[in-house]
Amino acid sequence: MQGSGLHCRQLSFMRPGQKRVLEQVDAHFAPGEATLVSGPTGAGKSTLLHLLAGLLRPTGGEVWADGAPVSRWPAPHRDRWRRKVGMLFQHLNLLPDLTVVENVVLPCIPTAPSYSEVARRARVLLERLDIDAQDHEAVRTLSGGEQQRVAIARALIIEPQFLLLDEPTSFQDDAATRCLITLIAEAAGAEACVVVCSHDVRLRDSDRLFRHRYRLNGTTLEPDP
Amino acid sequence: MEKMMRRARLLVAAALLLPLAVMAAIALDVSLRSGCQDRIARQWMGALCISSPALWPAGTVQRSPQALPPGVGIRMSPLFDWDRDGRMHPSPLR
Amino acid sequence: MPQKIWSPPLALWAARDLMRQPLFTALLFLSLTLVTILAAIVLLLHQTLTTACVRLLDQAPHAVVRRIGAGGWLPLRADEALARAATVSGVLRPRARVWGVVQGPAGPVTLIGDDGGAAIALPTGWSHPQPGQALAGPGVLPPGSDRGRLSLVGRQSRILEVIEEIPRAGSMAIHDVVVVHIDEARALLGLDPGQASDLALDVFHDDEVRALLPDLAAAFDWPVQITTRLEQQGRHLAHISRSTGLACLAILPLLLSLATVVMAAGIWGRSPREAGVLRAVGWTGADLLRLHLYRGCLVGFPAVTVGVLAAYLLLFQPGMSWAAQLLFGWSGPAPALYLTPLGSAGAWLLAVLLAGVPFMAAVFWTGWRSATADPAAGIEGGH
Repeated sequence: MQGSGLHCRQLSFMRPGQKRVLEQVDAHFAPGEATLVSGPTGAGKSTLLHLLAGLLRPTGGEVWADGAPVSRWPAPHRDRWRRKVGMLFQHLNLLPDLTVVENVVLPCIPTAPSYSEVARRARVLLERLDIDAQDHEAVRTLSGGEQQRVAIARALIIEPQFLLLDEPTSFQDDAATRCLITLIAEAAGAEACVVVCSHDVRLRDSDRLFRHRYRLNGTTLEPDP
Repeated sequence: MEKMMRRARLLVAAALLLPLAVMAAIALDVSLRSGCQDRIARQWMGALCISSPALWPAGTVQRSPQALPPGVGIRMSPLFDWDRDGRMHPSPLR
Repeated sequence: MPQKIWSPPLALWAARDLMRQPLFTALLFLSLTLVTILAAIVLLLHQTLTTACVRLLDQAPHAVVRRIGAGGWLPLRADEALARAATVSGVLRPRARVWGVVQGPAGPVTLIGDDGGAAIALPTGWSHPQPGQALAGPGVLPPGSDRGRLSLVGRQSRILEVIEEIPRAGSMAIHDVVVVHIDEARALLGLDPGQASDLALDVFHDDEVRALLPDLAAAFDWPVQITTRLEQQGRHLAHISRSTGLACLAILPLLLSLATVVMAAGIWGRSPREAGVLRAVGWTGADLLRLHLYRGCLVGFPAVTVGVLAAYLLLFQPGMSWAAQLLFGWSGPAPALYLTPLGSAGAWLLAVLLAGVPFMAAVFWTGWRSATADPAAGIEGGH
């Protein structure tokens, strides 16, 4: 069972003093494929992504990544593994006083040999996402949709092995959504393991992109045919 | 590179170079001047056969501690002339 | 792959990070600089003044013989004293000195009688003052007064012509010294012709002085007080210690400043939300710690360096007089000090450590807290 990609084995999560968010979730997210996880608001989609990214520790069960039990690892090892993870947060988590380029290059700073090279890659991505004209502006001056595209670029710049996107199209128009679908497909084509949490019908209807679909019902994850 | 990052690069360079420059300047100054600053003062000390440097005003006990009258007796006083061996005893009399 | 310690992009990022809080960073820089200056001056004043005093006293006579009586100091007959001192084996260059303290225009001055070369040997190019003439130190005449005339009041009064002012570079020795003809000096000090204030002598080696003391004392028919150079040095150094000990009162505000700087560095640390975001996008705890340390070094190294430079200039600027004005009780213009940094490396190092170590410890502590915090809690706390 513990092969490549991401595996959830009997994954459970509950916050202290609060109701259970996830219970006994089993799922496999294979590399080279994009998987859509949908569900009603508050179902726990973001929590699932945080667990897959190693930001939260499950209260039960395990998360395996490429055959390694990452959820059991101590923080320093999980941090190092997270260098392979590109994540888009629902609340974006950008640094508003920094410029667009500075936000995008953030994941690469500790390991990059040169800032100029990383900045060049960032501008290429921003051009594809059609926000290269604002690359020197502070992020707080951008609209919600533009900020979301900055956050997407930040997730993609490291060429992640595991791409986790939480509501990536919530502020995007149809054209931007199509562009994003292309990028997701490219990431999957590069053998990345892509997990997208969204209730956007435009993504639900994109059959070519998502090989597998899941639906969060209450605290359980079920295949969504 | 953006303007802010260019400034950041200048800041890093300044932070690395400034200490080196200051240390080099101080080392150069020490090597050039060290031991020479007080040459003229020392020259006049020797020339005029002076026993006390002019760090304190003339006539003060700090300037001329040896001028305290020795006939004060053996009262304990911080200004009293102390013995060469660290003990108190009267000056030699003939 | 083993983690590199030095990462140019991370250092660049640390600088960019500092620029996001320019006012606070500048305040922190200034505080650390001031703390460094204060620490350096407190630690170095005693050491440098002591060194200066010792170096000056190296030029003083090895011993001074003074005649004393029941009421204190008495003048001695110069010829007789010289003859008696010469009988003591080991005594070199006995010379009779005529000197004392008289009232000058700006306060008390040290008066030295010039006998034309027997006891006093002026530097090359300086002429011995004749009767009615004087050589004056830079602190003798008050600012704005007639630089050519000098009025002295002792047992008698004299108005003398100042033929030359001794240069300011010699202030540490002659700031308030007046050199006059020996007859003028005797008149002002109330000495009879042929009398001297005391006898200065040298020996071949410093250590011989103590051995000669009994013989010297026995050579004179009257009670004498013999002061060796070493004793004189000990007394002067004790006075310097007492004066510079006052500088230790600065330790309290220094410690308060340090505490302020340390607390500020702690507050200056990264917000939990931002630390959480960095960890979430792939930064490790070690990367966060390195960022904090880089930020600390980018502020700390220049601040401490500038502090060291400022303290160096304050202490070793040729002719500085603030230390003497502050410590040695001068009511008028204080002597210009020409201190040497020789032998002060240890004190400098201690000052740098005193200022820098608590600061970097606070930076490290803040970075450690950031690095070990839960990233999810940081992110969620921000929302």
